[in-house]
Amino acid sequence: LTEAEIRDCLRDWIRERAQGRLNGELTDESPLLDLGLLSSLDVTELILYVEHLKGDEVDVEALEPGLLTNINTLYRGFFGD
Amino acid sequence: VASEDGRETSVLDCGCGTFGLKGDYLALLLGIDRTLVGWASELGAAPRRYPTLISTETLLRTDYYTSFPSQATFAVRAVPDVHAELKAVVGEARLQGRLDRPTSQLRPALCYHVYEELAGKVVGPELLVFTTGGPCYRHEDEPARLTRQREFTMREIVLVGDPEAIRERRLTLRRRSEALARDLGLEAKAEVATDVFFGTASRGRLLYQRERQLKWELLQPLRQGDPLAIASFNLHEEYFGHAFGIHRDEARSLFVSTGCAAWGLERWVAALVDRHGPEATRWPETARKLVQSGAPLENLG
Repeated sequence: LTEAEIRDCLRDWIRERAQGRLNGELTDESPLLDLGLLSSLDVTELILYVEHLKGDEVDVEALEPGLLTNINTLYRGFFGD
Repeated sequence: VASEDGRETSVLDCGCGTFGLKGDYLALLLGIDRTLVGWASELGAAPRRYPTLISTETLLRTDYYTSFPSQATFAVRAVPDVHAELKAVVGEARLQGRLDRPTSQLRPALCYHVYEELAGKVVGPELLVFTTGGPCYRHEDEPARLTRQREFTMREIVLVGDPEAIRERRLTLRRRSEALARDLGLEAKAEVATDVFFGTASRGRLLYQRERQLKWELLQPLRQGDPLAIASFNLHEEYFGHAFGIHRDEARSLFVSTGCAAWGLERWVAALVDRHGPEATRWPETARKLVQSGAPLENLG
């Protein structure tokens, strides 16, 4: 997958997951936690979804702080390398 | 504190991973607790004394058994069929399969009782503050005196209501705890931390907790081994408000937020002894004063 495709996938997944909680447009800068778009349970599912996209396991302990801030940080944190 | 072979004797090994305290260690623990109760009082906390037993039904509502299953210590009687021969059954370690259905366990923390007390209620817009203290129980495979006990003493201040007010009080309690640690000659620092969740959902919960900075721990470096968490300052957002149906408004459209600060009192003693040694005469002045303030309570046990 290209970077643009991965970002599309992440946006679509969050839109789907946050139905009813998302008022307005979701951009790559939208603050996901502050807007209440990601709950603890959502994050569990998000990790599984990212692993599906990557085809590889995610080591949560090794992730940098700030990862869940927005789509940009999600992309950089999970797929940046 | 008397010493034997260089090893302090104010800790009593009571077997099965539990330890008691006496002398200056006990007085210090009680003095620290008295200080924390003073802080709680300044915050307008309502004191509570809850039982050490807590119902499994209450803990099921918190999802405790998913998050921390290895720590649960159930309180259960033997089935009536074996009462006549119970001494022999226990003595021969034949209890397995002869225990009744558990409906309670030893409490793993104190704040669950507060949410149970408020379950189904509308608490209004004001911040509610509670404080409660006493023994808590978490199974440990490898218990260690003072630092990792199956039974330990906790003091909690529990905050219920508006999230901003809870954040503010949490920060206040963190700063006061850091200052107390400094006065005790400790180098403890508060850091973002996570619980050790169990199971498949653990990674998401851990990541969310870390990203939201829901947990701070006051960590004291030890001469050997990992730093020791002597206190934690926690935000739960609306988790327990939702789990126990506690609302902020009569329309029941807003769940309360909750938070708590918790101090592991034996660990404060452990940190001090690790840093300054077992002899109270060598402890910093603040510690010696705490010993004096706790000493009158010592005889009460």
